[in-house]
Amino acid sequence: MNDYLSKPVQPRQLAEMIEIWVAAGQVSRIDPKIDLAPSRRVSFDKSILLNRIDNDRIVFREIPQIFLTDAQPLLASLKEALCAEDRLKMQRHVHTLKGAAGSAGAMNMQALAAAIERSAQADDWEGSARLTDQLEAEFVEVKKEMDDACSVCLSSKKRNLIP
Amino acid sequence: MITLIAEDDRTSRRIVETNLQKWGYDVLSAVDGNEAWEILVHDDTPKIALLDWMMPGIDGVEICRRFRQMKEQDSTYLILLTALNRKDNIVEGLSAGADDYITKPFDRDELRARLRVGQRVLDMHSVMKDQFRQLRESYARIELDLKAAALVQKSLLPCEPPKIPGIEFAWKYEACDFVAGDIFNVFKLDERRIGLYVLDVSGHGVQAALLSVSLSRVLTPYIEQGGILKRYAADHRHRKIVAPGEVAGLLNLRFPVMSQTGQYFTFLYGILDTDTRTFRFVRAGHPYPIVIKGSEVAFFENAGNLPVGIMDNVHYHEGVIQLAQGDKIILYTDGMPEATDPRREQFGSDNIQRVLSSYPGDPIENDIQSLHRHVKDFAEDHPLSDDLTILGFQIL
Repeated sequence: MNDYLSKPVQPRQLAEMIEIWVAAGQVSRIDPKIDLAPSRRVSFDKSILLNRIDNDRIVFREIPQIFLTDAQPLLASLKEALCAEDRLKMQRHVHTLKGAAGSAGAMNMQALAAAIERSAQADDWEGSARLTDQLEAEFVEVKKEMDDACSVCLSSKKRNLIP
Repeated sequence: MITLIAEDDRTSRRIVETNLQKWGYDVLSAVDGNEAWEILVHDDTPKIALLDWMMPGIDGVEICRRFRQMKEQDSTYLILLTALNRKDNIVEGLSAGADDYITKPFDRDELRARLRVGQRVLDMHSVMKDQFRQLRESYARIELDLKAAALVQKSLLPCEPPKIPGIEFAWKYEACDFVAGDIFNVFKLDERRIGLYVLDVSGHGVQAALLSVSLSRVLTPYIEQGGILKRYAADHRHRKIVAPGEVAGLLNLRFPVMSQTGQYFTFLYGILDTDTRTFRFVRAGHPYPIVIKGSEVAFFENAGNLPVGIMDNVHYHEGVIQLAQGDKIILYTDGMPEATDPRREQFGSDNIQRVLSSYPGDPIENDIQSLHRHVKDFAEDHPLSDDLTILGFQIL
């Protein structure tokens, strides 16, 4: 058994599970980014983050900054560990990345990080490398969307200040 | 309420902090397990701690384990944050001492609800701790009061046998609680007559003790102090001694306790006339007096009456025992024959007779000591289940 779902099955959990396993390359070789559920077309799900911080606009600008600052070196460390085939280090970095991404609303990154955790567990170095490349590409998307969201947020705040 | 969030991922930590602050908690943050541990073992321990399962330094589960070992009495509510949500992990976390867990990325409403559960448990714990403290204080106060009451009660008992030429007295008294339902006394009624009684209020403890103290107040020859053992003669100047049967009747009239408190009492009151060497007594529901003449040990089974306090208008019959030089009489409460051994067997009258028969010719003091020692040996030094009084005298 590779994974499990608790009943009653929630459509969202099922979609996430499929994403994870497709991403892990163990179900299909189709690019997981193409196969993502419609809700994950965005890389940075603002509504998830907003909901998690009670729509606090100030904290909303703060979180992406923290996330982007911390994720960058984590990604670098992850790649280092991957090259060195250091499974423990890899798992630790990707675990932290997964948590941070999930908290910040970068749901695709979270799913990819989870997939890397599993493929590392399965000693699938090739799969891990492929997924890490995808993770890196996804991070660029997240950064773009987060920057956009924050500048919109900033300008709307400015508009409010200057009527 | 001080709350700790220990989480190595800055993004997740900041989100939790923000929420905790919004909900009015005072927030302490730790970036890894070691920092969390330092905060937890500090004097001003957080009341709720959110601990990431996997973080550098000591991990969340290990913190729970160490904390519970070190601060057994501490009621800090420990919640594990975990990305792992498989059943065996949850079991491991809870077994290590976590009170709850929440999976990451958390749902805001769920986090808030779980924190409220934590607060509820902590509130309950503090109420219980408070009540336990109050209970302990009250118990200490009651114990102190009881000890004081026991001293008061002891002060009502005679300290040493009265010095009366030709008569030797001896006794042994032991209360099973702080305060007792048993009471006895020996006193001079006039130049040649001595009064003595042994009394046992039903039950034991405070209720029994209060009644026995009230009774001891009226069972005195001092009329001025409310005593009923003497009364003024028709000339209103001289005093005469009230006969034992009449004393029982008076008590029965003045203490109709069965209808008031469900109590009653048994007693044996006798008057020893040192001139005629007669012992005239009333026995109200009380065990038989023991009469020892030489090597002959007998229970005087005649002249029994109902206990006092149960029924109105009881006529109390008296008994008379004629004594000679060397004769002994022993009065006691049912604490002696009904003393039980660990197998719930009673000491019984056979044992009383056997003990007294095996030391013929002993002075009364020795008889009382032997009886007491045998009762204690019989009970194998278990605490008595009832008060115990043994009172005896001997014609020298």
